[in-house]
Amino acid sequence: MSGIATNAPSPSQVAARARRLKLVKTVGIYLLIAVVLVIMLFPFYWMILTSLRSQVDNVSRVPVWVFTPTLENYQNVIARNNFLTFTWNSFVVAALSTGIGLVLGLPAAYSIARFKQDGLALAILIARLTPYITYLVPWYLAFRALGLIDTYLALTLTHLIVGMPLIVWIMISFFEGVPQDLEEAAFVDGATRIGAFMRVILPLSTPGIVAASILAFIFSWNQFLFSLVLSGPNTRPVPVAVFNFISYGQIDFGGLGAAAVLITLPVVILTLIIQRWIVTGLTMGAVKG
Amino acid sequence: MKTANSWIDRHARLLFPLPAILAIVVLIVAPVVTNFVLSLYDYFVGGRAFFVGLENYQRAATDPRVWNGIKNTFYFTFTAVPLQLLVGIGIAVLFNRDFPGKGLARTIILLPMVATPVAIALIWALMFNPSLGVLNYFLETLGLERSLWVAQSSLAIPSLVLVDTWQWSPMIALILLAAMQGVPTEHYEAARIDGASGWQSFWHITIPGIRSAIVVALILRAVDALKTFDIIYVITEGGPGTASETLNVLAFKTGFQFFHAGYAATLLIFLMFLVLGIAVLLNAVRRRTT
Amino acid sequence: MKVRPLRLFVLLVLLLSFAAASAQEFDWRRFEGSEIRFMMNRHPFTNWLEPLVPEFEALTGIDVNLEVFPEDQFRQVRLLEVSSGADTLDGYMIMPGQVSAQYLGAGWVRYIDDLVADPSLTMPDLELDDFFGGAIGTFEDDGQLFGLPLQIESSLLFYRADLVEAAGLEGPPETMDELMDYAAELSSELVAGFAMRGRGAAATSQTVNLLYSFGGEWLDEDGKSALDSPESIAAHEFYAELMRNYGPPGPTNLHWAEVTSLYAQGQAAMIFDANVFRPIMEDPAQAIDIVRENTRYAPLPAGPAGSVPGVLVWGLSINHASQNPEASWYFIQWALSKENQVRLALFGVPAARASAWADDEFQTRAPADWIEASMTSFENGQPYWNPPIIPVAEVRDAYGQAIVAALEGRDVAQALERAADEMDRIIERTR
Repeated sequence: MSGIATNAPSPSQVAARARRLKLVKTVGIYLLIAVVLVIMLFPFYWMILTSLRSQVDNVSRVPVWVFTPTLENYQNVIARNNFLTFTWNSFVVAALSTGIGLVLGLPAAYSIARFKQDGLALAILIARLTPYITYLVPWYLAFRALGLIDTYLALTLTHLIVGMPLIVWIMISFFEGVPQDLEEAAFVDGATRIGAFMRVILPLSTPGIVAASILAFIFSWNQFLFSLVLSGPNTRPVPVAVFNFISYGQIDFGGLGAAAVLITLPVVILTLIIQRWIVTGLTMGAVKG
Repeated sequence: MKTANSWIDRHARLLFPLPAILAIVVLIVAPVVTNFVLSLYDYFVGGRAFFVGLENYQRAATDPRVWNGIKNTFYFTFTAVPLQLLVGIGIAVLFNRDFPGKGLARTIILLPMVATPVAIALIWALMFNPSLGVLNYFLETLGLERSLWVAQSSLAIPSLVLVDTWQWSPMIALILLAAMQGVPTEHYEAARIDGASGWQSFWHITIPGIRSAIVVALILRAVDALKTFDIIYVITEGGPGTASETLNVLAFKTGFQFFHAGYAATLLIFLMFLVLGIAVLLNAVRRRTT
Repeated sequence: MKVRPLRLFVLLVLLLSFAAASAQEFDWRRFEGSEIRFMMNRHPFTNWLEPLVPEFEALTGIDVNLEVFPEDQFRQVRLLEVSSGADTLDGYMIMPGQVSAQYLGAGWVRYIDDLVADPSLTMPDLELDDFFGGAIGTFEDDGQLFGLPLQIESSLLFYRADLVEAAGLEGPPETMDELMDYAAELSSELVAGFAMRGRGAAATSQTVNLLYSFGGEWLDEDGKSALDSPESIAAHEFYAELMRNYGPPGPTNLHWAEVTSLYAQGQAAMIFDANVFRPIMEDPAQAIDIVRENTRYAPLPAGPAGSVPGVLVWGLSINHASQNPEASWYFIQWALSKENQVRLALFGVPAARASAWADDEFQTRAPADWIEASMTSFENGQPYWNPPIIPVAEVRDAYGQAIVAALEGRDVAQALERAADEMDRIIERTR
């Protein structure tokens, strides 16, 4: 491709320059990667810092970086603000909606995978694409009429809309991957379809089910909009409780930070377990992890 | 028993998905239908409902606040998504190599998108505070002017875009990273032998190789950005004034702060068609590109 | 002397009923085992009350659950719950000047006259007369009582005596013109001369003080919005000039938390907000030393129409659907008893009982200028600091848009006209 230069530098010079260039490039790239990571982590770092500082330090004009950490904010949040109750509420709703989501979603995903029911798959996708708030006004009116505001039932049903489509879409590709021969062998042995589904297909799909469940759990845990309107004193989950923390007249920055840390922690742990699946879940299976 | 089982087997394609279909009908189809009915009423929650025909639609079409909401929705989406695409491609290119701690780095960039949005939004709100926030301290340290961030109308949406970009660029990056792994390495080898620069091979090999992944990422992000609620509601509540009030937030306020269920339903119908319309449009683009 | 049988009969009945009443004496433990739930605003009163609830529980054996929300959300959640008719809510904090039109119209409050009249349910030294007339008056609906006031509140000017003196000025500004001059003198690179709320709807409870003092009103004689009157335009132009020139950066972000934090951190020389925030300025955990030592209080400076602050009265009411009105009434009486109102006053919240203000310890503990400024404000005040119509939230939102526009330097008259039009449309739709 390139022409032959007449007075080219000697090969060793070229090599040295190339090596230097490569070093600069490598250092530059690592630096950029470091910058990306620092930016991604900074809000979390700030969250933790805020949670460990006293109020005066938190509202200082010049940020206080060095200070004696205090756990008082955590004590306040947990003892004074019923944080454990809210956590329990979040847990109950997330677990129930995930469980029901599996019961409804797994057979549907299997059916879509086996019988190529693309229309149904699309319908479930649309449920995921439609803004959640669209459902909220009618739900609110209906639950109000039925006296179901502030019940686990109302929250679980609504959170189902968050979790079930996710479970279905992740599991479709999983079930498609299970060889049909295994199922047919079971039929030959006299198994019914339900039997084959329960005893052959599901056990083979355990990793997918675990990933889908954890994702559905995380999404329910993070859900804010539905809980904001439909929860009450008996069922209030953590995101809404944390939102309530902006108590005017005395913004308790430290308490806010502590609450934010406590609510984020379980999600981070779960993420570490299934990190391979996060993107798959967020993209409704459009991208394989 | 046996006949029951064989009956189930014969109708498996209907029976297996039936519970899920019922749930969707009750929880999704019914509310959407209800919205259409509600939109024909003037209904102040707790009071009486009056049938008003298409009045709510007329009102919405001439309501400057609705147009402002639509404008803000588009402004937010169409600044946030392209920006995230650029940042996402950048991160993907950076990460598409072996370096020590790569696994850890990939885990770290997952955190913004899985962390509870409310918690994230509250922390950003603290950081944005014009007098006490840490972002202005950074600006000052760098010798730049302090900014008002979300406290200034013209900066409210750009600030929210910043949060959204922080949160979601990693997802685009990870989608593209997965796609980049699918581009055959021989193509790069061949290009290198041909003397192509890094930039040229990126432009002529990487980008075409991941084009469909880019489109998928764009669709997913655009649809989600159009209906962003948590971070906007928590950080600005749509303010200052209505400077960052998207259609989504306006509908929420109309329904649950002003309690006009009928008018809120009308706005929700607008929003639903807007989002689904754009999803269909983008999907058509995707079909053409692949 | 002739005895008239009828009189004798009346006397007998009276004696008997008196005997019956004293047989049924007021007993704090009568509703032992009940459980009640009250919804509260995250207000200094609530901060004071929360740790004391166990005292009430020990006294009565009634279990109390307090549900606390930040103010904006509190209104929303309370409305959701009260309008749903759920009987799980027994009582709530309420500001009649804000929502009485709606709550009375919809029948969401329980009138308490029957409870007050029953000596077996009402503590002997309740003494309704002890509450400030202007406070308990807002809980009267055509002669019937629907709750009791817990505090009377008004906004004051908080200012830094040291900065005022250093600038060669004397005392607090007494007129609006002086306020502007002081703000100009006191503002510097690091310290804002003056700050008050500017966050849309949340600011309206403060800007209404200016509206009244410049001679403006919510409605004109025809029941239409008067937000675009010349007086109102003058008031808001003054507000915009004051805040834009001498306020802190980003005034549209200021809620009470921001305003008081800025001042407590020494970043504002004067603020105008509720007198209930005094404890913040005395708390070493929240205010820096120089602020704690040099804060003084004065009434709202006088405008063309005088100094006419809005007076806010918060109180407690019983939910119409409550299944435990008696136990709830016990809680209200206890929380608002003479003794507890003194404790509340000592905590720094302006109590609704005259006896609390007269308390010796209170007089020595609260700064004299704060007491004086507060009393002056209560005298001159206007209890209707919200538009006297039902969709309050919507009107405040529309008015809030105008405030934001004014703070951002847009045409004030135009913004107010738009707000007034919107307000008229809202009134129109309500009919």
